Amino acid sequence: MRITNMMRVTDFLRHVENRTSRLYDLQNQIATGYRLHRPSDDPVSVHQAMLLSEQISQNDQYARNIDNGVSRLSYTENILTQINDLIVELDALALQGDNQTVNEEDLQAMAVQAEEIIQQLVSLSNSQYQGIFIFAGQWTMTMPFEDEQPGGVTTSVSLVPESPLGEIFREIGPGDMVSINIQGDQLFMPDGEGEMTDLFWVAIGIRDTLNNGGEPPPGYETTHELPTLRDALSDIRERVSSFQSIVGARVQRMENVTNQLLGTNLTLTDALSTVEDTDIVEAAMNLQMDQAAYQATLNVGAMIMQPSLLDYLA
Amino acid sequence: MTTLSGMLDLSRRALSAHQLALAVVGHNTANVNTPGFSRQRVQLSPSWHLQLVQGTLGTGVNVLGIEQIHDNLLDISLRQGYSDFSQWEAIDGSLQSLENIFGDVSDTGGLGDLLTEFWNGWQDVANDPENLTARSALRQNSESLCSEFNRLHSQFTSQCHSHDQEIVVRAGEINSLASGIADLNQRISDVENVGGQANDLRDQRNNLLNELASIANIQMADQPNGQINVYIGGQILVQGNQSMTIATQERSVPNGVVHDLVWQDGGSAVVVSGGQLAGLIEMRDEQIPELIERLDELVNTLVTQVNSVHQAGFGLNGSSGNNFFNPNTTGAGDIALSGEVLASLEVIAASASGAPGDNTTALAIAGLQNELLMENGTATMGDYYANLVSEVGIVRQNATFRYNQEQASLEQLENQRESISGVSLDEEMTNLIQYQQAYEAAARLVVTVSQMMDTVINLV
Repeated sequence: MRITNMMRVTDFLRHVENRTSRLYDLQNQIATGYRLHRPSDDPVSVHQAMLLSEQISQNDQYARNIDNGVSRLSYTENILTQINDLIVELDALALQGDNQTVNEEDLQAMAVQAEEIIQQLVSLSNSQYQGIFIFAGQWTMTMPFEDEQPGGVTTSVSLVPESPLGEIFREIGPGDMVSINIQGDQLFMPDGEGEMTDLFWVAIGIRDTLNNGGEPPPGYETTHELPTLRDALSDIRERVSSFQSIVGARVQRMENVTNQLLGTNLTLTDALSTVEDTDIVEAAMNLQMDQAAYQATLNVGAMIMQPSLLDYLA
Repeated sequence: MTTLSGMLDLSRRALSAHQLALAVVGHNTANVNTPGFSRQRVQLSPSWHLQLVQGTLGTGVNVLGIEQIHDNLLDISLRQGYSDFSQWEAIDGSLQSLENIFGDVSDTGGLGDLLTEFWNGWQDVANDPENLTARSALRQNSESLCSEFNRLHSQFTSQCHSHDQEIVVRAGEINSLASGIADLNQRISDVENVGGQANDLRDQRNNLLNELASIANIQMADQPNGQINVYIGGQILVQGNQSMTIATQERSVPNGVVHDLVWQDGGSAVVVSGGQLAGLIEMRDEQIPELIERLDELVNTLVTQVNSVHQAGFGLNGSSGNNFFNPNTTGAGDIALSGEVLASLEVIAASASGAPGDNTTALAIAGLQNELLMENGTATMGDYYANLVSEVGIVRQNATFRYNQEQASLEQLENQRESISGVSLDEEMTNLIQYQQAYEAAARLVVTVSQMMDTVINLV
């Protein structure tokens, strides 16, 4: 084949261009740490990387949802323990008051203690976590329980919003919802106000009976015998405990999911890194090889382009 | 019977023939870097002979002409090569810009990330429905999402617009190239009708034809008088020394106005199936509008789905039936938040019951992230966008492959052309020495004849 000067020059330029563009790519990959920049660099990997990073971000969000839910549940757990303690205290008072040897004065003092417990219970039933009433269901901005207190004595405690109060959920996985609240009506008065299941009603009953010298006040003879009230209180305590274990189980479950999410994200991040990160060792080796080739190209170009017949014509 | 003066005449012709040959070497050498130049050769041949009693005697050398070393068939392949190369160069270049519009995939903050942040924003509102902070963050995220959609749309549209402008410019170039070719046709036939060879004019015309072929694929028909007729899409563009004019005609499209190419005479459409114009037209009329359409589809699904869940929910202020996104959104170009949401954070509906602590609606909207709402229920919105981006990547990859292929084959053809028609300095130098020596030899003959004449004259 007849080779002309222009052919040699253009071919040389093309080869140098090819070499420099490879060097440029490698340099870019090493400098940024990423091997994917444009979708066309590797469309399949770009697709994979986009889905992986969406999944990672979604899992991070689930972990955030869980953190938020767990802190509210833990707070609820704490309040439930306090309620439980108050019930135990109240039960102790009722047991004491049922003793024939207690005198009138002691009974009065116990009634005052019972009133204090009632007021603490009311205050716990209106517990707020970060400005939110935790037992108010979805009506988180409304104080759920209101007490009548003529002359400093609690006569009734009633639910303000309409029952049911509603559940609040956190999404902890795709479509996986966990309730993070205990509805106050179910905890304190599942059958409505003034029933034997109503903690406040039973507590007020105990106080009134203690106040009445250990005998049921007139009109409440069937319900306000202290042993009857203690039975009711024991049922209520069981209910509170069962809510405690529900809350504990939810916290446990959410913490397990957090650990899973952390593990999954570790794997996904690893996969993402494999897909989109530059393999520095490989890139550096390629760079060295390409650099050698580039230098060789320049060398050969310099060698074959310089001489011509003109050099030998005197 | 040869005479001394006959021998002098022979030397004179030899001198002038080699002088001419050296001039051609000079012409070739001078044009070693001229694109499209075809090397020329002096055609030498023995001149007439004398029939003597002793035998036939030659009378030296004669110049038959100066020929161009050129392969016409190769020209046709080359022009096809220019058309194909320019077409894929235009497509690949346009796709490269499109890819750049999507941004660096290794950076965060692309549309895919913003979409994820949008869903996460709803989860955060679900975590804290009573509070305005999460709502404010959500509104911020949503505004970023809208403006990214707007940005993509406006950049895609402006790329269409710049292709359109380039098409108009190229149409003008076709017109000036066509009149240049018509002009050269006239000059070539003028030279060749009187028996000349218009080598350099033909080279010039070839260059113009190559430029024309880069813009649009052309067909050519050689005429007996040395002229060449040029056709685009079967319609005559250059006939002899006459050229037709291509005009532009405006056409309304969803995102503005584009220009179609029509023949000024008759107004029928110019059919372009190759060259840079074909590439630009394909991008302007097919690929980019399709991309915009797919983006619009995503936007419309997002707006409709989010709005319909949102309307059923209640805001913190108890209002219901509000849209989250502007319901008049027609696509990526004009997606925006609804006026209600822009005016008040409390309108954002997280609650399905009206209770401020209810987050059912917020969770339902966040749940749209995982719902298969696109591609006939096979893809989530995130999948759809990832598919869209990777498809652009695949199309670009193919285009780059074709572009490289066409480039390689064009280089092959150009090398072939160079191999036949290009100037080799080594060769020219060799010729230079060869012709110079012949010239010197002819001069030596003159000296010898002159001495012979002296001898004869001194005899007298």
